[in-house]
Amino acid sequence: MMIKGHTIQPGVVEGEAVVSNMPFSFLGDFDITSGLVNERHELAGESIAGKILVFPSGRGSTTGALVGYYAKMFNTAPAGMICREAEPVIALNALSNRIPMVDRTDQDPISAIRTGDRILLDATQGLITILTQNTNKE
Amino acid sequence: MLLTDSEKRMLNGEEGPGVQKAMQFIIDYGEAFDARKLVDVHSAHILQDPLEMLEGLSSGVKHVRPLTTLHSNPPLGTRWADKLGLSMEDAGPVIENNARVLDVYKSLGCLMTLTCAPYVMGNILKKNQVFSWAGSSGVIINNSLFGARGNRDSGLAMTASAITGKAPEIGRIRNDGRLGDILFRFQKVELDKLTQADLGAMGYHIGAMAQTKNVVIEGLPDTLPFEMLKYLLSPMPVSGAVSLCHIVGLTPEAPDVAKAFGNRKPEMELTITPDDIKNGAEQLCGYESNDVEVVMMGCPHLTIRELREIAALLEGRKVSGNTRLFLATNEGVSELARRMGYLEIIEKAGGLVITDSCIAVFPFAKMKTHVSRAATNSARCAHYLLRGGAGEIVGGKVMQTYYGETARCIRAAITGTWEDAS
Repeated sequence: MMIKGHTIQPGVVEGEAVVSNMPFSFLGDFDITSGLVNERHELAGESIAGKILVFPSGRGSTTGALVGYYAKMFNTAPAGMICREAEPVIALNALSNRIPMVDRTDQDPISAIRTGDRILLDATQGLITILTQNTNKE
Repeated sequence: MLLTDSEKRMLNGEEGPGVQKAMQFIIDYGEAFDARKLVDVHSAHILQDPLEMLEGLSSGVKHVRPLTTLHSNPPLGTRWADKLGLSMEDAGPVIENNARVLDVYKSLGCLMTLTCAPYVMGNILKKNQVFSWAGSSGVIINNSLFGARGNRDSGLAMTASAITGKAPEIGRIRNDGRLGDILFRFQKVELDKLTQADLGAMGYHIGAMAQTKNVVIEGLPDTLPFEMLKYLLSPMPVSGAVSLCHIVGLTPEAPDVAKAFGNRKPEMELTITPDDIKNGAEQLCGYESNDVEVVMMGCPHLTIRELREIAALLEGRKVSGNTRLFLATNEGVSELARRMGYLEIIEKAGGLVITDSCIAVFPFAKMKTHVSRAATNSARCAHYLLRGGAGEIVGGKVMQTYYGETARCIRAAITGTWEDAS
């Protein structure tokens, strides 16, 4: 399956999707030491390190992009990001730290993609390909 | 994107490599949000970029263009680290080059305010002026109370705007990006009895509901002082990503509901009930014992009115031997409080007023003595305490957290015990 979106930060990356219905902040919603999402978030216990994070939009403090810089340093940043519609903090995180990212896709990414799906994110072309669907999880 | 001749010169490198890089970043930012042009920026407020990135952006740059101030720092990077009881061993990468980075910014003419409330130190905006600011509380305050125009800038955007004097014309800078989306009204809320903590809990609830949308609140009394509004607005971009909240009768563009929505119908109409405020406050608490170890206030940085109130509450009393009281503000307010004798009262009582520091990302993991329970009057701060900031490697620690109004926090500092709500 192919989904088309709008480029925030170009780049091509392949990885496993982690999908959240809840907005996400790089400050507070995960620990850059481990890459694990905080207990109080819908994705509690999931690692976002090296994953492709699919979520509605950003939230939280404008420190987010700086946290993204350190997350990259500690190899706990997501490899790519897909949003329904980006707000500035999350988009500037992608732009400042060169994390491939798209938003405003032609299908709702949160229902089209499931956690555990293997996807190819070609943010340069604005294309998302679901390579293998995760059949284990609901 | 349509660029003026002078913007093209910057992009072509005619004003040096730093300006070129900064301009390219502003354009990339604009393209991500379909900007058609750039606008002049009247004011910048910067959260320091990492040294390697700053060196690229500032190469060949002599001076920032708009009035530019600097944001608060991690406490480990300030002169207060020792007094706070923080261990500087293995302080971590976040503060490694902090002093050098600050020197670079200072040499570019950035004012060393080191605060999240630069509006009390001279970086103050009026209606329709454009700003590029770090600090989501300052952003929502500028948009909502002063009628100035700016987005939730982050990362390299503020430094790039300070260097080029430009920002992409997107979001809250555009007329159509400032209209209300969601209307909030009150149901059974006793508006004349709202405490500062009620307003913080309300803002926290509203932010989670509104997410990235523009909020309109109808019915708040116009007698609320600035500080109360600060606590209402500042959690909205923490539970959500709100950058503009029209308070009808108070926000310059919102003399009435119809104008706040540009005569469109609200996308959604929601009511705020006493239960919403109670639930908001409950989400900001999480503790197993009532023994408070640290009380921290100043997120956003305390104003002189707040420090005066705290000094009055502490006069002739002592902070409990088992508890520490940290109060965060900036150098301007702190100096004024010293002149007025408020600092002396607070220090005599055993409290510590610190400057230059962000307490929302307080590095509790780096405390020399083990601390795991903290109280605050700030919804923003409580949210991050409960989540351990950005994580242990940068000093963060998930804290047992108590949230309540200023007077309740001061009572906790004096008795060492959190009073459960009656």
